[in-house]
Amino acid sequence: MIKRILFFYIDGFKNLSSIGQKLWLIIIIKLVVIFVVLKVFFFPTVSSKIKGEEAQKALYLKHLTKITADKQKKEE
Amino acid sequence: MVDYSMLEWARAQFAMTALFHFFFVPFTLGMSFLVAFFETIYVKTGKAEWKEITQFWQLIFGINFAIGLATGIIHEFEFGTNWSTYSWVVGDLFGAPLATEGIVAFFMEATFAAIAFFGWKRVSKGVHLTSSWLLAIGSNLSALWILIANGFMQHPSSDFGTFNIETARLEMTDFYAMITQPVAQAKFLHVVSSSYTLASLFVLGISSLYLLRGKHKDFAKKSATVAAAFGLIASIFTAVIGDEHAYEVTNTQPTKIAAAEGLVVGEKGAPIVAIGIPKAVDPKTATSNDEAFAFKIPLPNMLSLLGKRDPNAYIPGLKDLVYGNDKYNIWPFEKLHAEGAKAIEALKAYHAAKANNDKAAMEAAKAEFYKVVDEVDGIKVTRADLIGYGYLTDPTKLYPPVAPVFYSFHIMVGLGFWFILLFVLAYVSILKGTFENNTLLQKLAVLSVPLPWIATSFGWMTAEIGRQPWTVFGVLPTNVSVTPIALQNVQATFFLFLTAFVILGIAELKILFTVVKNGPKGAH
Repeated sequence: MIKRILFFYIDGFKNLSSIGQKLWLIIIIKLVVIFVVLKVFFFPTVSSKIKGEEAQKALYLKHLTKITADKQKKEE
Repeated sequence: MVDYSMLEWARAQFAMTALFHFFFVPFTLGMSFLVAFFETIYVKTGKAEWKEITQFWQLIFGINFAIGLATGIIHEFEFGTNWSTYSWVVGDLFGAPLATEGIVAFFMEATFAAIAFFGWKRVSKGVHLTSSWLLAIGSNLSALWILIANGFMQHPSSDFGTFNIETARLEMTDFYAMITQPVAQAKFLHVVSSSYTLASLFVLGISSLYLLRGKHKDFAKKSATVAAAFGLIASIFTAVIGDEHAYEVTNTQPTKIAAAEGLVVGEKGAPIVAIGIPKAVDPKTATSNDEAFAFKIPLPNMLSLLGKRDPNAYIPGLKDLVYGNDKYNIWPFEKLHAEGAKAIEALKAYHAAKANNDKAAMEAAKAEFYKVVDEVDGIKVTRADLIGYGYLTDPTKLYPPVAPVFYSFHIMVGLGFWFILLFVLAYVSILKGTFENNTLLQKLAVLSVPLPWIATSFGWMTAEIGRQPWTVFGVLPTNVSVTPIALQNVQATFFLFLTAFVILGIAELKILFTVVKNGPKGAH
């Protein structure tokens, strides 16, 4: 069964039309750009830099309560 | 405080990514069903020309599918980088439908796409047809989960979520209620039916182009017949469900509908402005809705009928929604803000008490946070429900900018009615057997091909600009949702995306034009 599925894909890729080949080339380039270039160099997840749920909670709690503190300071 | 230029850049980047992603999505949603229809006719009749028709439109579908693939993933990166506060606060609610989409619908789509594209000579007719239908259903299920997530942002009902003071997050209480909430369902049906309209008009337009050039006539007539029938049903359904969607919006996002109709002063028997030029007006000093327009053609009582199913019902205007209206129990901004600010203070006090292990102070803060402050239609409103208002300081920022919401809403609706008219004319002409020689109608169909993309983009602009100043309506303002990171990071990625999107857009159009020019012969 697995062999049949595998050959289904291999056969499909072998017999791609020229447009199909172009589209797969675009897909591969796009995935490399999105998952390697953009994700690694430009989109490091902010939350993952802060290890642990409690540390993350502290950061966002500070952000969520900071705004009123800022406003109070301004009013004073 | 958050740098507002950072906020605007982050919003611009998200809007650009969403609009680019949505360039492909509706085409996939609609074309997948059209391909399934064509293939069903092929399997039923066994005629080779229907196989040729199926394979040509499947190739067009495939080009769009391949170029659009993974463009939505960029949103996920943006949630992590630019909108991390949003992700933290609502991740539990927002993440669940997105994860379901990834696990169920996306894999279903990917699996059956492989059989649909590679399986013509390798599986039986029945298996291939089933795969084409499952691919269409899988694509549309993807849209369902995404729109359930978006429906939550538009209407975060307490029926399925609540703010937990302990975790400082919005948490899910009832997944089924979230899935079935009317705002999400109406939105899903409106989006998918408009997508079917878009794909049908594309097929009708390209078929008309072939007829105008005297090429592939039999192919074009057969394709146009199916597209006109599907497009007619879809465009009428889009309008009907759009009416239901507008009803839901009126009752859950009153500031959005007021901005979309330029309604500054609330009134009974409120009109819909069929055509108008809104002008800037301060709701505080406005005394009549005539002040808010340089020119308008109103349809009396229609907004009340649309929004409340009663032509004489009261619809609040921006003035009422910002400065309050005692008669209709609409709280002014000051009162909402005061209760929201108390909720934020209680949240802060709770965690300060927790750090000191002061259980009594924790209980006191909790009681303040969840204190019932109002009751609407038997539903208790707590301070926790109003926390978002505590972050807003300027009453004039409580509603979205009127002009962009008004124009985008009216352009979308106007184009929607044009599509119905065009499909009625095309369908009647096909039934009479005159479509083949009706060059005026064919030219109108060709010229109309880009219009559904404009309509769907303006639809999203109405939905998303109209939701401002909130990311999660009434709960989490946009300026709090954003990550306090350096402006340069967002600017750099904005231009990177812009470059990538322009290149991908050119690639798609170039391949599409080549395939359309070559026609159905040799599509496979």
